[in-house]
Amino acid sequence: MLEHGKISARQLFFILVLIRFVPVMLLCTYSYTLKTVQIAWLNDVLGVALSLLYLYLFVRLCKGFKDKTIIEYLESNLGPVFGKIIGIILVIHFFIIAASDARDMGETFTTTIMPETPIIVFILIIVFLGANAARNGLEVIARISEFTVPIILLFLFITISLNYKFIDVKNLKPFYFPQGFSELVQPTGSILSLYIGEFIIVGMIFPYLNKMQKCSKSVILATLFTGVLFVILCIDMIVIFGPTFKTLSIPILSLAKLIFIANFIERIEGIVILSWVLGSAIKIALFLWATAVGTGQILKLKSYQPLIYPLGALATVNSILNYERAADFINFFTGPWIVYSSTLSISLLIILYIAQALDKQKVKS
Amino acid sequence: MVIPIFWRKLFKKMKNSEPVNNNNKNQSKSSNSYISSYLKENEESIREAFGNSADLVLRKVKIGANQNINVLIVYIEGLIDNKLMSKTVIKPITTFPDNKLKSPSPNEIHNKLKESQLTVNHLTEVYKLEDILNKILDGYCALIVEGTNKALLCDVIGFEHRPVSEPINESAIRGPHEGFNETIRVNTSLLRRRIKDPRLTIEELTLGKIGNTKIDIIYIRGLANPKVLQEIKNRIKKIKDEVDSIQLSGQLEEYIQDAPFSPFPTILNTERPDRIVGALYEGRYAILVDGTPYNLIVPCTLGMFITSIEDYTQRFFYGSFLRLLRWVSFLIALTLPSIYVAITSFHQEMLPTNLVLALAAQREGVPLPAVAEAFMMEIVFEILREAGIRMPRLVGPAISIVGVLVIGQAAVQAGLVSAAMTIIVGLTAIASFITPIYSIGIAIRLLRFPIIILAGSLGLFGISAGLLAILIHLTSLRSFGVPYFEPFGPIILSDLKDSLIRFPFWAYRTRPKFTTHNSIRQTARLKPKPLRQEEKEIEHNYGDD
Amino acid sequence: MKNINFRQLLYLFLLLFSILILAGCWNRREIESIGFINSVGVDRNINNKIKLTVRIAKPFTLSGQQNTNVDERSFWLTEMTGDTVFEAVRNFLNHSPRRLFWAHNRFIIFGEEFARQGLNDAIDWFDRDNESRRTAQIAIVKGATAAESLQVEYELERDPSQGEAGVVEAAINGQSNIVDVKLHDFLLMLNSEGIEPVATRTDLVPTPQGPLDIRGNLKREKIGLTGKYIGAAAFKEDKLVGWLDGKQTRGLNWVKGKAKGGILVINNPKTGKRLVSIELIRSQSKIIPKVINGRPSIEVKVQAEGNIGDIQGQFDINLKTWEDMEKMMAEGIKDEIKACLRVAQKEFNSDIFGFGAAIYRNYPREWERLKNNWDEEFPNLSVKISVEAKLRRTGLILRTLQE
Repeated sequence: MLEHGKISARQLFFILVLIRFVPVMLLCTYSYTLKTVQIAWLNDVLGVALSLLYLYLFVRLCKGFKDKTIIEYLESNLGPVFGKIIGIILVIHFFIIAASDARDMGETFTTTIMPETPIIVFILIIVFLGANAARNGLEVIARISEFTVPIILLFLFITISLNYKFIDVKNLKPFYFPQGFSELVQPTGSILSLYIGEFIIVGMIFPYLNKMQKCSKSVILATLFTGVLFVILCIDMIVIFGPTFKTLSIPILSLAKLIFIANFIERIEGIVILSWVLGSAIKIALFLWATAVGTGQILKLKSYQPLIYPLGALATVNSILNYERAADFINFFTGPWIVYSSTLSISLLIILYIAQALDKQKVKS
Repeated sequence: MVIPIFWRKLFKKMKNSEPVNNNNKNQSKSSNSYISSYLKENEESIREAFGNSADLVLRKVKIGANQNINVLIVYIEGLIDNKLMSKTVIKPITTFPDNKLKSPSPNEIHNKLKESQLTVNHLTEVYKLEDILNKILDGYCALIVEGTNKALLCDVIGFEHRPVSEPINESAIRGPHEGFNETIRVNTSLLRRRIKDPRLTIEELTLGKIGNTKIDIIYIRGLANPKVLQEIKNRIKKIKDEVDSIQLSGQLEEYIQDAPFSPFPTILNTERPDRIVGALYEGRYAILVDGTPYNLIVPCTLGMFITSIEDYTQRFFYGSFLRLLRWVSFLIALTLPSIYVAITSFHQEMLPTNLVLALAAQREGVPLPAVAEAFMMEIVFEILREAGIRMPRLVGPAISIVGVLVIGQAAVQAGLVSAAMTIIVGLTAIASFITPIYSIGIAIRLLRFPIIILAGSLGLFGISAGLLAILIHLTSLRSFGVPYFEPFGPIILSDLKDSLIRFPFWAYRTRPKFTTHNSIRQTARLKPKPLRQEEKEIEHNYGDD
Repeated sequence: MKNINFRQLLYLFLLLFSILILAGCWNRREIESIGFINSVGVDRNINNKIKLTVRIAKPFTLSGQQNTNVDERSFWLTEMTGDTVFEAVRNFLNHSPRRLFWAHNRFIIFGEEFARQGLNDAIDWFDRDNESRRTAQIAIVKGATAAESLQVEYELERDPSQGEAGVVEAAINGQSNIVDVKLHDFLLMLNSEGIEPVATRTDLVPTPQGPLDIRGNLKREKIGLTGKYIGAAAFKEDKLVGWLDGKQTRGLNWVKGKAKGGILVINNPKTGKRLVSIELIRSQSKIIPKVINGRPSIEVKVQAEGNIGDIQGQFDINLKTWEDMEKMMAEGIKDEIKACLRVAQKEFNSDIFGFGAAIYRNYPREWERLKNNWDEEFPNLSVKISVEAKLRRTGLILRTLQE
C-alpha cells in the first residue's frame, strides 16, 4: 500500500464536510445559477436528496474494494488497459478539482481583500501548503480537517447568527415557480454535481479507514449534515439579502460585512478570510493526495510522496492557464462542469457495477 | 496480564546486556584486569588509571595480629563524607580485634571485615579493578586486604549538593514547593516518596564514553507502554558509546527527540517532581539526568506545556479558566503583533472607525512601516529580556528603567515608535510569559518573527497561511509515537477532559489514550454526593445534647 | 515534514522569503497614508458629470497627541468630477495626497437634483467595490446639493459624520419619524417586487449668525450649517418623487412595523382641550392582502404599545379614561398612517409601503397580472387600517392629588 496511515470514520466525516464547505465559502457559482431566489433552498434539498441516493449506491459498491482503492480495484477487475484508462480519467478529475479549487480561492482573494496582488501569489502559497500537508499523508490531512472544521463551523455560526437585525422572513415568500420547474434544473445540478463529483474521493480514502463498515454511515451523515447546514445558510441568505442574493459573488463575505452590532462587534471579515485559507488549503491537499496516490497506483510506484510537489506545481500552472477570466471560471462551473461531473460520476457507478459483477464471477471460478 | 510479562522479559534482556556495555569503558590499560593479590600492583594500576590525580587518596593501614597485613584504602577526596568514613571504615579497621584470630590469613580478615566489622550501610565485594575505578568515582571507598584478590566497596558517599529547594522557574501558589536538585539519587527519592509502590521502576544507564553520566528511566510498571520504553532505549543506545558525555538534559533531549528541526519541543523538561509524578500516573516515562535539575518527560503533547500544577490544585472552574487563559495567551503571544501589522497595513476596514482613526493618528509621522516597527520592537524586547536574565542581580532595576524610560517613553514621544506598538509589544511579552514551561515559550517567540514577516507582506492571508503551516507541522509531529497535537488533532474525545478546560478529578475516568493500554483510571461514580437529609440533622443536633 | 533535510528546508525558506519580499510591494498601505472617507455626497455638475464630494477625516486632529489643535477642523472637504462614480473616485488621486479609503464611509448623500434623475447611475459602484460597505446610510438632501450638505457641522462632535450618525440613531430609536435606510435596505427595496424605496431625508439648517454666540466653544470656527434629520424621501424606482414629513414618515414606519419610539400627543380625555403625550415603546404590523375577483385590497393591522408620559391638566386615571386614551392613541396612529397613505397614493403614486410586495408574496399568480398596471391600481387601492393601541404604564405618578 502506498499510504500507511489509517483514519477513523469520524475523520472521514470531517473531511467530507470540509470538502463541501469550501466552494460555498469562496466565490460562489451556485448563486449565479439561481433564477428565483426565494425558492433557492429547494434546490439544496433536491440536490442533497439526489446526492444521498447516489452516494448510498456508491459507498455500497466501495465495500467490495476491501483493501484496494477505487483505482486498484478497477484495474484488477476490468483488466489493465480499460482499468487504467478509467483510473487516469479519475486522477485527472481529482487534479482538476484541486486546480480549480486553487483558482477559486485565488479569485476570491483578488476580488475581495487584496485586488492588487497577483493571483499567483495566493495560489502558489496555498498549493504549497496543501502539498506540504499532502506529503505528510492522509492521517495529517484528516487531523487538520478534524481540527479546523469545528473552527470554521463556529465562524460560520457567528456570521449567520450576528446578522439577526437584517432578517426579514417575508423574503421567503412566495413559494412558486415563475418559469416552471425547469428553473430548478441548473441550480440543483450545480449542487448535485459538486456533491457527487467531489465525494467520489471516498473511493480513494476507503481502504485507509480503520473501520470500513462505518464508511457509509459517515458519508451519509456528512451529506445530511452539510445539506441541512446549506439549507439553513441558504435560507439565511434569502431572508437577509432577498432578491439581491443572486447578484452576490461571495455571499458569505457579504454576510460578514453586514455585521454591525452595538458599534463594537463589526467588521469581522477576518474570520472568513481565515476560513478561506484553512478550508481551501486542506481541500487542495486532499485532492493532491488523491491525485498522487492514484498516479502512484496506476504507475505502480513505491511511494507517492515525490509526486506531490511536481503535481502541486502543475496544479498551480493549470489553475492559472485554464481560465483567463473570472467569467470563464464561473461559466465552467455553471455549465460544462455540471454535465461533465454528473456524467463522470454516474458512468463511474455503472462501471463499478460491472466491475463488481466481474469480481463476483472471478470469486466463483 | 500481558504487559508485565512482556515487560519482565524485556527487563531481563536489559539486565543481561548492561555489564557488557560497561566493559567497553574506562579506556585505561588496567581496566579489564582483575585485582591482584599484590597490593603494590593494585596501587600502581589505580594510580596509573587516574594519572596520579591530586584528589585520589591511597592509604595503607596495618592490620592483623602482628600488624603485618596491609589494607589499602582508596577513595576520592571530596566525593566522600569524611565523618562517615572515619566512623564506619577507618575506626573499625584500626580497632580490628585480633584476639580471636591468632594469626588470621588475609582472606579471613577480608571476610571478617565484610561480615561484621565494617559498619557501613552498603557493602559490596568486587574482583575487578574496573569496578573499583567506577565506584570510587561515585564516592565509594575501596578496601583491598593485602594478599586477597578482591576488594570491598563501602558506601560513604557524601559530596556537597544543593538542598531540595523551591523550583525557581515553575512556581505554584498552592502546590508542593519541592523542586529537583542536581543529584540524581535525591531526585529519585523525591519521586519514590510520592509513589510508594514497588511498581515504580527505575532503570539506570550510564552514558558517554568519557563522562559516565547516570541516566534513570522511570516509569510505573503496568501503566507505561513497553513499546515506548524500547524506543527510548533504542534511541539512547544509539548515542550511548558515541557521545563524550551528557551534561545537560537539554543535550540528551536534542539527541533523542523526534523532530530535530522543529521549533516545538517534543520532550518536556521540568524541575517539579509533582509534574513528573502526574505524568508517570498517565503512563509516561521520566528520564532523569544526573547533574541537572531539569528532568525529561516522554512522550508528551503540546497541551502538557500549557499545563501547570496550579490547574489541579485550585478548584476546577478556576483551573479551567487558567487553562483557557493560557491558550488565549499562547495565541496572543504568537499572533498579536502580526495581527496588528496586518490590520494597520492591509485591512484597515476591519477596525471600527474610531479605533482606526486613533491608530492612524498615532502612526502619523512614524518613520518606519508597521512591519519594520513591529519587528524592531520585538527584537528590542528580546534583547531586554535576555539582558534581564543574564545580568548580575544588582543591576536588574537599571535595565528596567532604561527599558521603560528610554525605549518606551522617549521613543514614543520622539515619534519614532507609535504608542499602540509599544502596547502591542508589551502585551505580547506579558502573554508569552504565561507559559508554565519555558521551552514552549521559546518556540512561540521564535515563530512570532516569521509570522510578522508574513503579515507584513500578505496581511491576514499571510497570517492564516503561517498558522496553517504551523498546524500542519503540529499535526504531523509525534513524540515517541504519540501524536503531539492530541487531543485536538486527532480529536480524542476522552482526552479533551484535560485540555482546553480541566474537568473535576472525579470525571477523570480514563488515562490518555495513546500513552497506556491500561486505560481505565477509576470508576465513573466518584462524583461527591451530599449527605442524606437525616444524617445532616444528626450532625446539626449534635450540639444540643 | 518527515523526510525533509536541511538543504531542502533552506531552499523552501529562500523561495518563500523571495515571494514575501515581492509580495510586500502589492496592496500594502500604511494606516497613516490613507484618507478615511466619512461621508460622500453625489451630485451632478453643470456639464451633467457626476460630482463627488467627500469628507476625509484628518486623524491627527482627532487624537490627543501633541500636535492637536482644537480649532482645526477634523476633516477635509474636497470634490471631484467624472463621467462615472468610479472615474470620479480615481480622479481624487490627482490631488489627494492620501489614497481614499471607503470602508469607513458612513453616509452616501445625494443631492435632490441628482436623486430626481435617478440613483442607478451611482449606486452600483457602492455595492460592487470591495472596500465599500452595505451598511452606509443613504440620505437625500432636501432642496440643496449633497456638496452643501457635507458642510454641516455639529457643536457636540468634532467629526460631523459622527454627529450625523448620532442624530440618525437617536431619531430612529426615539422618534421613529425618519427612516433607517442603509445601502443594503435601499438595494433590497429597489430590487424587490412591489415595493418602492424610501431613503433618509436630511435638511440643512443655517445656524443664526449674530454677535451673541451662546452656543459654547468660542474658540471653534463659526458653524455655518447644521443638519436636521426628519422625514423621508420617497422614490419611484430609483427616482426621487417627493418628501414625507415627520408625521407621514412615522405613518410609514407604523405600516412597516418599524416604529420603535416617539411621542404621540392626544387630547386630554377629560377636558378635551389640554393634551396628553404618550411615549410609544413598540409596535407590530401586519399587511394582509386580499384579491377578490381580481380586485386587490389591503388590510393593515397595527399593534402599538405606549406609556403615559405627560399629562396637562391632571385627571384621575381610571379604567374609562385609560380606554379613552387608548382609543385616542389608536386614532392618532391611524391619522399618521392615513396622512402617509394619502401622499403616497395621490401625490407620489409610489408604493413605498410594499402593498404590492404583500400581494406578490401571497398571490404570486395574481401579481403577475397586476404588476403591469400597478401604477393605475395603487392610487385607488382600498386600504383598511385597524390599530390596536395599548397603554402600559403611567410613569412614576400613579394618580393625581386634585382634579
